[in-house]
Amino acid sequence: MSVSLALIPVALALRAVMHKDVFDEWSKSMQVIVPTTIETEAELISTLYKSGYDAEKYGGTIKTHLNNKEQFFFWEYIDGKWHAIFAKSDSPAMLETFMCDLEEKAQRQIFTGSIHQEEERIGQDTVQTFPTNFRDGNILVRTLKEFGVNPIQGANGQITCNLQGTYLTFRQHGDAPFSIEIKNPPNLHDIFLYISDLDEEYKRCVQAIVYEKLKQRAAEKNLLIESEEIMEDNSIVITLNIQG
Amino acid sequence: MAKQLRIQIFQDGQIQAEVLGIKGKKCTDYISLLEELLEAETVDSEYTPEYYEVEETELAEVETNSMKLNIKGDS
Repeated sequence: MSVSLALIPVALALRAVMHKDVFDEWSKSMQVIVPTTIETEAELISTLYKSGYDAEKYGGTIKTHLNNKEQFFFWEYIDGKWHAIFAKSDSPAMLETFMCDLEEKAQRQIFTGSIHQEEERIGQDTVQTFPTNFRDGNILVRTLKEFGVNPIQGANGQITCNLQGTYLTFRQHGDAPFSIEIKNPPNLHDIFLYISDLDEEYKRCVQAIVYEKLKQRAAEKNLLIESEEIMEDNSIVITLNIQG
Repeated sequence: MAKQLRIQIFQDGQIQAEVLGIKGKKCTDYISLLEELLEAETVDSEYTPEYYEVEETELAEVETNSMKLNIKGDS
């Protein structure tokens, strides 16, 4: 071996922790979305760099670290402007400090909302928004159908469905992963268990699609399959011979 | 050793890929091929001792170039 790589399919984001036993953690990941005046990716990256923050491209979003890399949040492009996507569990004081620092160093107003305003709005709202790992609408629809739910795909790419009387809306902005909006859930824990199962199934679906496409593309490039094997953990190992 | 790509696709969608039997920097040429084959983005990479070895052909090229430089330097 000379180089070993870890890769993530473009259909997948590793953003939300969805194991069944982490409901508390997941419920705290509820999104606090603060809009900014920034319109372009170049402007966002340059503003962050000049102010001493990082801007790492990450699965269709931009990731910025805080607190000596101990914490992070994402930026998403929504309706023509970049938005900071914080989590409800993030310390409001830390976020306010970051926002003030960025505006002070950039010497202009960047944020058009405040943490306090957004948290107040969330408190009044009947819709709760959470991050997901889904980036491919077609795979998501296919997975929902396999779960016996009848998803409706809107012209703007949003996917809605009704799960045991609760309306779920999957919304995607650009290449960023879908977020899920849950309206009036009678029992958020039950919804979480369902989404956790959906997450597992979606990932299995991605595994199958990656495998099929790999075989197809390898044939197109005349790469011969030396061997393929299904391991005990249900992973698939394929070895390709490189010509020449 | 045969030149191979070993790809492991996990049930959670994550992928581990290794370039086998290719010494030196040439192995990095296969990173973009793997990304294309798998429609995936590299999130982490690690070079192994083989990466730091030099292919005999590469070594021969270096020696030839060095000899040419010496000849030019002599004249």
